[in-house]
Amino acid sequence: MRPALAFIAGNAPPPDASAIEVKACFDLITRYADAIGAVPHSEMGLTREQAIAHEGRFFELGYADDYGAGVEEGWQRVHDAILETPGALDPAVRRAIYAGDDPPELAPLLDKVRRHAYRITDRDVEGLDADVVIEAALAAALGEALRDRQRALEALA
Amino acid sequence: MRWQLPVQVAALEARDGYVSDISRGLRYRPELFGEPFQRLLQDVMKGPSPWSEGERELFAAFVSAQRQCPF
Repeated sequence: MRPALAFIAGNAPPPDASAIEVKACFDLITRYADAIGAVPHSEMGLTREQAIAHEGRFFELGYADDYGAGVEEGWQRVHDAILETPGALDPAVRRAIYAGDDPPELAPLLDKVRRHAYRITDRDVEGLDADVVIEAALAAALGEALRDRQRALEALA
Repeated sequence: MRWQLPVQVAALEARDGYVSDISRGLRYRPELFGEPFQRLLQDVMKGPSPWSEGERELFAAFVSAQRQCPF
């Protein structure tokens, strides 16, 4: 029986880590989308059909050209890319943000990234360098996503 | 997006007629985020799992809704 049908029937399969991985990925990407001020399709003047066709390409074509080397290594690569890739913020600063220790000038923005990224407005990023915003938001969002993931995986164990 | 983006985004836009902001966000400095993250997404959303791809997409939509994010 399909897991979803078993769940509806009150005969759910054992909790599965793959659902936790989906949540962790979208915990990260949604915070990033809000931090960069991404405009949703509904506000871009697209029809419902156009929006579905555009986003549906992920479902049809996949998210990348190829599979990675597995989820654990995939998270490690994402972790290293966000925290160690040379950029506007020193990697040491990004690692601190990841751990929850924010530079004062970024603390209000990063508090929103962690708690309610959908409330971020242009005013929150006013005067900040775009790459600083991107790198800091990704570091904060990654920290939240991976801590939640770790708690969930431990609860499953 | 509030800032200038790489030329590759313009090429994508020319191909598809438009490009979503989140797609731009994934393509901006891909070595920082988009490239490894999309590879991970491919594993998580389409790799081995007791849940179908459609069910996983539904989980993703639920997480987005919980975060009040329209993506």
